[in-house]
Amino acid sequence: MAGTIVADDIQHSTAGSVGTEYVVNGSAKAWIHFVGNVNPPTTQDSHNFSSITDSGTGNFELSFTNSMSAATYGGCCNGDTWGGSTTFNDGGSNTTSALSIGGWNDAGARQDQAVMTAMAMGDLA
Amino acid sequence: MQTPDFKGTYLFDRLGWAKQNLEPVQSDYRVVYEDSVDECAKILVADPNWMACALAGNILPPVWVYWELAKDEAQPDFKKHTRGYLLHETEPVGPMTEEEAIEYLIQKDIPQSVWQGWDDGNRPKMVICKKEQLPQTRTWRNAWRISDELAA
Repeated sequence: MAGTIVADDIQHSTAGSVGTEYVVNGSAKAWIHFVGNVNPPTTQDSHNFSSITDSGTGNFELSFTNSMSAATYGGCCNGDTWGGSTTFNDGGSNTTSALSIGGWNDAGARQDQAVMTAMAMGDLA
Repeated sequence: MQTPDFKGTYLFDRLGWAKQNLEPVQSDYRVVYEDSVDECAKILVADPNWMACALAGNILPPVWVYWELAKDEAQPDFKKHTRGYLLHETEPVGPMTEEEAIEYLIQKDIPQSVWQGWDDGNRPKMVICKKEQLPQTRTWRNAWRISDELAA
């Protein structure tokens, strides 16, 4: 691809250097910000996702455009609704093609959340 | 904007170009489907950046590439993809209409058991509709099923 720079290290003038493998391996490979408590859920911004599947209250599946290499990538997510809430990545349900996330309220019940964000860290296929 | 010649370019790099150069497209289409009698209806919503790629063309791989990767992942001894090159090296598909893009997305992100036999039973398992046809609130969300009215 035009404009490609091949380098093993990036060096700052005073702050030292870092290997580019840290940049490649440490960058999020997909991320999304969506509104989860409206019908249907609405994506505000994203990268490397093809769709949201709304599977029920507080239950969403996010499909990748560029699949992950293995299902053992790290998924993390966050939610924000008044009254306290938590959002989890359901790691056991992750596949290389989709990330599963869920929102819960303080009582432990599924809950849709106004702001839901998620990202995936790992290797791409 | 004209999509560059991306043949042989990593898919993730193509998506990076699209993120920088294409305006996201919010589709009004929604796909409602049921893949289990014990679960509520599910709703597929296209990602706006993905839809922009589909409409622009020459960015996304053919949908069969995803089927091949899904076959690999379904193997009992699967640990890691070894045919990821299919995503990057297969010639990208050309521009699609919004309707064609939704059909592509159905075949990519909805289980094949749903879309291959979507109308085989007593009632449809899948419906493409406009977002205005869905309930406006999420009250009783877990009780939603495809209605005869929506399926008509």
